[in-house]
Amino acid sequence: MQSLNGSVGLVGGQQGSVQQVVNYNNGQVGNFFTGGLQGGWSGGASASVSVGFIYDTQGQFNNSDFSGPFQNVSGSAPEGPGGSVSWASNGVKIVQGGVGVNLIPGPTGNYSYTLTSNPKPGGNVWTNLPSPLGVFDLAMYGLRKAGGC
Amino acid sequence: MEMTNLISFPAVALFCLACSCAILSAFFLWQQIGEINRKLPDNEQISYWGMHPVKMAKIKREYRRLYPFGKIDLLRRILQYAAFVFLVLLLIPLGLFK
Repeated sequence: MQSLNGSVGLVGGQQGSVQQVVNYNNGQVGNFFTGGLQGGWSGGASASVSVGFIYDTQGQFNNSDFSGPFQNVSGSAPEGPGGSVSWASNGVKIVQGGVGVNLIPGPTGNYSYTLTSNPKPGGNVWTNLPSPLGVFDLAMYGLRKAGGC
Repeated sequence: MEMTNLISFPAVALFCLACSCAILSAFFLWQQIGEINRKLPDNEQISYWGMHPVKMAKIKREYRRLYPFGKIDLLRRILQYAAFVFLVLLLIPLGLFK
């Protein structure tokens, strides 16, 4: 998945993001909106881009499994790199890494509770080739189909 | 949302430790910027607002140049890494691995 994220707040705050999920099981692409509340130490106002992988511990992942409430723990360094781990009660878990900018210098560390929208159709791995990770996603889909991962 | 996981003592303690370390690390970063600005001319001052990778690299480079035996950057990094360790440990009482 690829994600564009933003947040406002210092000790508490709000966050929002848009995500594109490429399902390596069936090749479907879905677009999502996520929003929620956060607590911890944030960067005042921040923006970041991230990529990551989604795991479904309770069966085969469908894009609709990405919808709903998530708990998230995230952190970032002033040097730029950051990461987050998200999980839902339906067994879906997400690990992401990315890079961002902040208004207030310093590291950040947050717990947040977010809600993700239902998927908006975004085509498939073939129509998604022009995206920045399109070739990588197609390769991963092919490997999964071939039983390589 | 499982509130019992959120308000468990280990989760609250680790969360507070992570936030405290992040805040202290930020304080040391602001002190670092202040120490650098003290030795830079007015037109080369580093702003306290805004942070991105290129700016952070400049802060570290200038601090190393102006204070070769300074300890503030080391203290800042130790607290920053401690914050990340506490954030990772926080995942356990929050139930990620259940």
